[in-house]
Amino acid sequence: MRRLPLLLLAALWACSKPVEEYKEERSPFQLTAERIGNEEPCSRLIPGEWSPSYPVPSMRSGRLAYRVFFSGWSGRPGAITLYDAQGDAAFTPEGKVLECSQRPGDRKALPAWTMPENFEVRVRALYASIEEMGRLYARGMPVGDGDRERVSAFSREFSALSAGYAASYRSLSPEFWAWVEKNGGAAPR
Amino acid sequence: MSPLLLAAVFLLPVCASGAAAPPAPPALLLQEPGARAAADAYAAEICKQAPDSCAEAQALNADYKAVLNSATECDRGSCALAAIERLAWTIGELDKRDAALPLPPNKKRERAFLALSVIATSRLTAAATRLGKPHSGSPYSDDPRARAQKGLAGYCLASPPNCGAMRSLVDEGLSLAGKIKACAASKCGLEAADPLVTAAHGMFGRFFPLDKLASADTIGIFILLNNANIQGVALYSPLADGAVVELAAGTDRLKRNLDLAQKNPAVPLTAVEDAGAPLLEKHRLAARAADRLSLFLGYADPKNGAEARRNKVNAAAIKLSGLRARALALRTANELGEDKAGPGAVAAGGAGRAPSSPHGLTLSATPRTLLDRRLVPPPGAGRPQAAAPPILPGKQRMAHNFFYANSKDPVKRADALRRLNRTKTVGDPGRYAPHAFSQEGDDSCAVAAQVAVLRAHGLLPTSVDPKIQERALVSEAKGLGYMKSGTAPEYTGSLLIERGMLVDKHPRGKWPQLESALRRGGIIQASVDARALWKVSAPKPLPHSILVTGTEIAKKGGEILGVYINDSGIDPPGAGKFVPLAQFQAAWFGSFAEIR
Repeated sequence: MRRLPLLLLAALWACSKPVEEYKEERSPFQLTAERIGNEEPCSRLIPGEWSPSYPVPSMRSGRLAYRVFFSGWSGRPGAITLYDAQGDAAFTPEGKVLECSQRPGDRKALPAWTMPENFEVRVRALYASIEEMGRLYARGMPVGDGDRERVSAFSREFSALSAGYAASYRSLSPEFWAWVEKNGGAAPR
Repeated sequence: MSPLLLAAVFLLPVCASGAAAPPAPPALLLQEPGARAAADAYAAEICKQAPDSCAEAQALNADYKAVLNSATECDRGSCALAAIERLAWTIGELDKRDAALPLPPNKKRERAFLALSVIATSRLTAAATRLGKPHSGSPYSDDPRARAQKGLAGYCLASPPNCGAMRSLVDEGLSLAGKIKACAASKCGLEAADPLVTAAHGMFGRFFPLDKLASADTIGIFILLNNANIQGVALYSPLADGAVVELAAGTDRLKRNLDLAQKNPAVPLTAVEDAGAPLLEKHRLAARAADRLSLFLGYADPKNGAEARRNKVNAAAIKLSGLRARALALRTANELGEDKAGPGAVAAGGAGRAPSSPHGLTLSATPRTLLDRRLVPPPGAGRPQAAAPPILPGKQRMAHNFFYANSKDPVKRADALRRLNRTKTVGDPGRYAPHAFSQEGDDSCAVAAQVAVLRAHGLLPTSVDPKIQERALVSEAKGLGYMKSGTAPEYTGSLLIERGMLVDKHPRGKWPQLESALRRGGIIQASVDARALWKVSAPKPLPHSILVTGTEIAKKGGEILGVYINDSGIDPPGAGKFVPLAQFQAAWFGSFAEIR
């Protein structure tokens, strides 16, 4: 009986129901880019288990597009192996796939990589920067001092988050990285 | 033929001739002496083995060499555009004659004269490019076989190590085109057309990587493969549409029969069951065709009808599963009326026969029928659900449960609410959990999920190690084109359909569709990002396939608290593991298939 008030209090506490709704923190651009493999013709050519890289801006017929590479993975939690680029795609900022293909040859495992702190938060910010860099790059005009700083910060962050894929990113859109280097940044290393 | 295909047929040669021919690599131009010697040897071989063709072979050898000499002169800058165009036309005519020349009986090699043709063409193209008209140097042949053979010869000169692989592709393309034509002429069925159209489509997957390995004009090979593909789809599409119409009509017929049986107890239920098994077979064929065409034609263009076909097959599967539930309930009621069986006595077997696996994997001894749900009857109509696995282990005091019923931790909250009996479990996680296992392959998660379903439904024997079954099904999936290095979302659940199960597929699903499926307790094969599911860090999404076996829903307000999953990607496997809704939503990767 001595516990009754406690139980009643707990029951009262239980009645006020918190609603924990899922809140999507990724931007529409990030979601589009991460699921580009579901869009055709990638959905026909790229296995469901492969995922796209960060998108890299690239001009196509005078318009802004993004290029990604696809790569597979294997393993269990704590022992995940990532493989190097196995396919490629280009898509418009609206998410329309312009081209998609698999690369020839066997997959190659990437060396282990230490995840930096706050990785997911930083990746979300990186996607926003990629969009911003895409707009700057597509403008085709010289960038100002403030923008040069942003380009430099973007390229540093991109390098830090690019895992072992630096070479694949460089080859994805060399002209974009040349523009980055011209404007105070550096290609991923 | 659909307008789309017609357009593709007519546009392709235009696109092909419009494409700039790649400049000849220097290595190719150095190969002229070897090519001339090979042509001489080839002509001699024909004369020795096929005397009837000897005169034509010698004439062709001489004509090709003459045209090569002229092209070399042009390359040195001594030709006008008209002369280049005339030579290009001559080369095209020679190529046609070469295609008509039988190969020496004991030789399985490339047509050696075509190497001369390729070198001559590259020189003409160089000459025409200097005059600002690069396409004038490319001979246009309207014979796709001749163009493909020449493309092969050019490829072999440019990339000898990959010549064999490209040659086998061309040989297959030629043979397949013939088989597709024969299949169409004999009015073959969907089952016979399926491997042909799949092979024709699969050749592209092999062509593009090979094409990237060498700088050569392979447009002729592309046209050959593309024509085979277009002819295959033209053959397959109406057959698929027919299967979808038959499926819908059969489902309607079944509904009428069931209505009759329900109104009149004198009508035997076996009549319904007899109609059910052929319908499952129709569903299998129609679903497979819808998957194929969704992949081959793409879904984005509504004109090709791929998405509409997919939706019709889904609708039929849903309707069939509803009819099955009604029929089961009716049978149970009849049996109760006759005092023959207790509640939930759902007998397997019947007049129908389930489709057997073409790959010889052992199925359960009793064939499946429409009324046969075995272990997983709809709640209320058959046996009771097995107890859902615990969300958190151990016992808890009542006060603890009251306290945590309001916790910010969604797992503790769901666990407490369930212990307080303020939730309901839909689906059947308890029944599926024992069938979870850790997958063996790197890319076989989608197959492992289906193995668990088949074992739970008694369609694969549980006495066999599931990893052995996984291996066998991976091999079957590869044989049927459902899997390469992973499974395309279109083929999720396809191995279940092959065994007579009903699957409602959503390769590009929306959250409300998935939420509805979760609320009705559907068994769902879903694609997820393993990062969110396992709470691991990785610099990129880790797409993975799992089985959702149940959903925990708050009784008051109907809030979905979370789902129970079987996860083959971890060791020990996630067997009936509870995943809070927010985590599941974050992990969901946009496609799912509901198993009915």
